[in-house]
Amino acid sequence: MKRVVIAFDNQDQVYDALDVTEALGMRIIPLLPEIRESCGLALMGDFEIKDAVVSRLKEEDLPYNGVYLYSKEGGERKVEEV
Amino acid sequence: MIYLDNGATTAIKPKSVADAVYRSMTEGYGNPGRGSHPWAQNAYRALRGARKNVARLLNLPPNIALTSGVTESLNVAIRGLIGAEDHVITSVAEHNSVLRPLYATGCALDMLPLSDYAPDVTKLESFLRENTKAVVITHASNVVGSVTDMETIFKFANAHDLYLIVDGAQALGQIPVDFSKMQTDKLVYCFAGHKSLYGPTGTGGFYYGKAVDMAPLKSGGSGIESFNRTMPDERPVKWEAGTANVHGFAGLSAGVEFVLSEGFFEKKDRVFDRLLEGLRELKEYEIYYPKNRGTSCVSILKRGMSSQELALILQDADIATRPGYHCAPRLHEYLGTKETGLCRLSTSYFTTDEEIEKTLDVLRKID
Repeated sequence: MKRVVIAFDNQDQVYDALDVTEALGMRIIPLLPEIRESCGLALMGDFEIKDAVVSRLKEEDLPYNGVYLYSKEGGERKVEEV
Repeated sequence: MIYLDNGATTAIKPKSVADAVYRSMTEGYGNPGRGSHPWAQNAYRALRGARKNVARLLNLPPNIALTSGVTESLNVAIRGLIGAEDHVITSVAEHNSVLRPLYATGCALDMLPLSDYAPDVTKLESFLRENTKAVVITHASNVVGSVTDMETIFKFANAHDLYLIVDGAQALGQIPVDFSKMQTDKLVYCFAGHKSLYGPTGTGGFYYGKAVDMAPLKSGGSGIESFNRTMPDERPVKWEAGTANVHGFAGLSAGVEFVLSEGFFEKKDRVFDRLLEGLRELKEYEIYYPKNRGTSCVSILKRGMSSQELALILQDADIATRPGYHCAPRLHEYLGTKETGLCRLSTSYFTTDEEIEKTLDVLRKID
């Protein structure tokens, strides 16, 4: 399983980004602890839509903090910045 | 009853406001910013909608902190930005929600007198001192309906790099406001939700400019940075500790949409204009209202009668008004109405022509 996770600086940014990427398949999730120790939010979707999501955010001039690959294979989970 | 105490609160709200509150209580609105699930999202979206709608009213970006009301907003701004060593320019028209926090800081104060019932902005330069930190001023009087010349205030504050803290409780929803051409970096614009924005009580907030960064008044849960011993530095989260009044802000958002709807100001103003016109024909009453159009709030006094006695007679005729001092002590001292107070009549969008005619008729017949 491979997912793209996008982190933001604040929750308004999360919701602004969701407004333009929900149709592409993104949804709100709790921010993963590997990204930042916090109880904030992030967006997640299938990894295949990463490029489409990032270009959408750029087109709309919406800020984000980082793009990550979240993978889980054979019980091993990994979060790495891409 | 004929309700002419809308300056205190708009007691009758649009159905859309009640519907929005009802939906927020029955359709799954969780705790905003505390989770990623859809019900938490519903709640967050309600707050976000309220911020965006208020920002549309000001014609500014949605840098809006949500609070329990204008009093909390003014306290956050005044106590957060002003200290005992500072000097502040304010006016005699201020409500106690401005005056008391200012007195509590121990700062030095100069108060603008009035010109046609509004703060006399021609005196601003003469009050400037080396340690002047801010102008703290009402946008519209809660007693006499006058509107402050904000353009001149903005120019003065910006020219001297001062904070501008505005009490907008009686202005937003009363008059069209457009600050898009103003330099707002040091602006804190405080508003009430339950008055002329037609929201529920317990709602309000403030706009914060780019350069505004005061310490929060309260600390607590924020939904983020749980291991930080202090409130997160993120705005507006830092000023919004604790669970927000989601139901109230869902209603406020609907109230602001109502104010933004086509024809709102025209209808509201037309009814008030008729009241003012009728009052001005009553020669035995003194009218306290500016020559130029202000808000839908006017004060009157019948010669030889206290405001309380007048309000009592009106109450017996099933007409609700507000006598006394309206929490604006310096204004009454300035106007010379400390003994009698003033009887305030304030209309709303829902006040009818018939109610105005009946009120004028009752006033006409009082001996």
